[in-house]
Amino acid sequence: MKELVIISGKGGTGKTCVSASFARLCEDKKILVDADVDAANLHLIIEPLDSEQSSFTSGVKAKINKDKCIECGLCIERCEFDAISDDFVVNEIDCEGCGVCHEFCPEKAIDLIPEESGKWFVSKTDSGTMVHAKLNIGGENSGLLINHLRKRAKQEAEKQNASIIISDGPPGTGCPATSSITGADHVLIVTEPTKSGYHDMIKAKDLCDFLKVPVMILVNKYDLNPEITDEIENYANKSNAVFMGKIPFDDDFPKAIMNKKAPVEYSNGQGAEVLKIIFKKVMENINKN
Amino acid sequence: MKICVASGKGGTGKTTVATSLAASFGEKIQLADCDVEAPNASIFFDVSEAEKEDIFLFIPQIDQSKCTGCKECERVCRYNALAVVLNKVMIFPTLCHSCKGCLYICPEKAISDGQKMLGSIYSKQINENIKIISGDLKTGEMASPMLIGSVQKKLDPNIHSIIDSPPGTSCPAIAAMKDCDYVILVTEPTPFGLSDLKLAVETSRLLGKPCGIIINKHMEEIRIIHEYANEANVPILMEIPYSRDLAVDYSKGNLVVSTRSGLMKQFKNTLDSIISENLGA
Repeated sequence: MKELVIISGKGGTGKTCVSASFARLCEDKKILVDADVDAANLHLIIEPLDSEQSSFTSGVKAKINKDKCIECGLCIERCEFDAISDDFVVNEIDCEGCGVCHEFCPEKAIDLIPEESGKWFVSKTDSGTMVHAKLNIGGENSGLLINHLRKRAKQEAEKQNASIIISDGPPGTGCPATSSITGADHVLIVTEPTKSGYHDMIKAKDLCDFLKVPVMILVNKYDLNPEITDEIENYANKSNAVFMGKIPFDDDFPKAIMNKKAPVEYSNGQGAEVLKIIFKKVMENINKN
Repeated sequence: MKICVASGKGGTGKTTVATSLAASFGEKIQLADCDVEAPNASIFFDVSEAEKEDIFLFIPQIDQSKCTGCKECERVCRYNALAVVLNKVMIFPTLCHSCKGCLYICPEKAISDGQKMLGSIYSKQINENIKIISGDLKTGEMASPMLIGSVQKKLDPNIHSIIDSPPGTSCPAIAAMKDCDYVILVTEPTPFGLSDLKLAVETSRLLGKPCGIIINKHMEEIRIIHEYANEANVPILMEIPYSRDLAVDYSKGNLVVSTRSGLMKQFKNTLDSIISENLGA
């Protein structure tokens, strides 16, 4: 069983369009993951028919018991996150749940309260099982939640004898991106030919190298700037990444999304046709490695 | 006044809006790129010879000669960043949240500040009006919110600031938004844009920040954002028309307002009204 994660560095390059299209094109037994737990969108295209929901509790928040507190100020002094106000109230948004205040309070006046940071779902869809989540607003530990989703997806894959996990990843190159690709078999970076897209694609590729995950690269809306597309292709060919191809700017893509369809099921336009060829190449690359 | 440009969904045009606002204002302004995992605002300005400062965070460094293997550090660390194996402390730097619990608890004073590099901050006065301050997270590091905090500490409170926020609604986006006076939410008229806009409005309300919407890639016939804005009682500040031409300009790293005086005026008016309506509110 192989795990493919689709990331981008820069947001809005088309990760979910590509993921949803792959989900529709893949005829093998598969498990889908939406690892963008901050702003999950895959379920808007691949709609859950039936979901099993669980609460995700991780981490704690400090709470000061006013009856015991003698206002000595040690908690304020030692909180590295400036989460305790001058009148001894913990700001839940700033609190990292490190427990330092609880540990060192001489009056044992600070409790640590477990916190629900989101919900996660195992859903039936007409493209197979999808594991996804909704992080609460300002929720901590998105990285842990992503690990959790991936673990659950692997269990499902084993149970159902699936040959591939297709994961729609988060943007960026920090904690959520790292959690979504650590130990994965393959990463596909979807980028766009803009200076920003190129710059962030390199940052994402560096992260994959750092984590020793092999990379494939795909350019979306390539004709927006053919020169930068060439630069990206050259970059891929000079590095150890595999260049998968380029999708033209296609008005049918936003139209497909408006209609809550993957581009490949909405139209037979040029973009959709190229995407079908790229999907085949990606699967061939995965299966030979 | 500090104005945060945020979005929920990535790629809706935060950086386009943030750079355009800064370039259109015509008075002294600071532009802080807090999307430290994918910083792009600098691409639109000449930032050669920017001043660079590396940012370090606490990680434990163990003096093994003093360590008795008592495991107190392992007990106090809620992130499993330290483990005692055969009386030696092993450190896992990427798991460390720099809370210093181990530093305070060690009865033998065997722990000191080992300083790990988190990333860098680049600052440059671009012209008479615009100063850019940009954070760049080091590959493999995860503590974006800490670096975002460091970028914000560089801002002069006496000068207006535009904050280019990371996408999403979790800790990095909160870190960029929490000290701002106003939040501009940039969205696009698609189901993805709408779904993530709703989360972003909830986020700014949770933080008690006034917010308004800029619709990017606007098409007259699509009203889903207007309908929601009306229902949720959030003002629409501006519409940027769907234009391939504009996207091509952006792709080259050109400021989209530099050749579009009408758009520049719209951005300036938008910023002026936000400031006059919210300053001292």
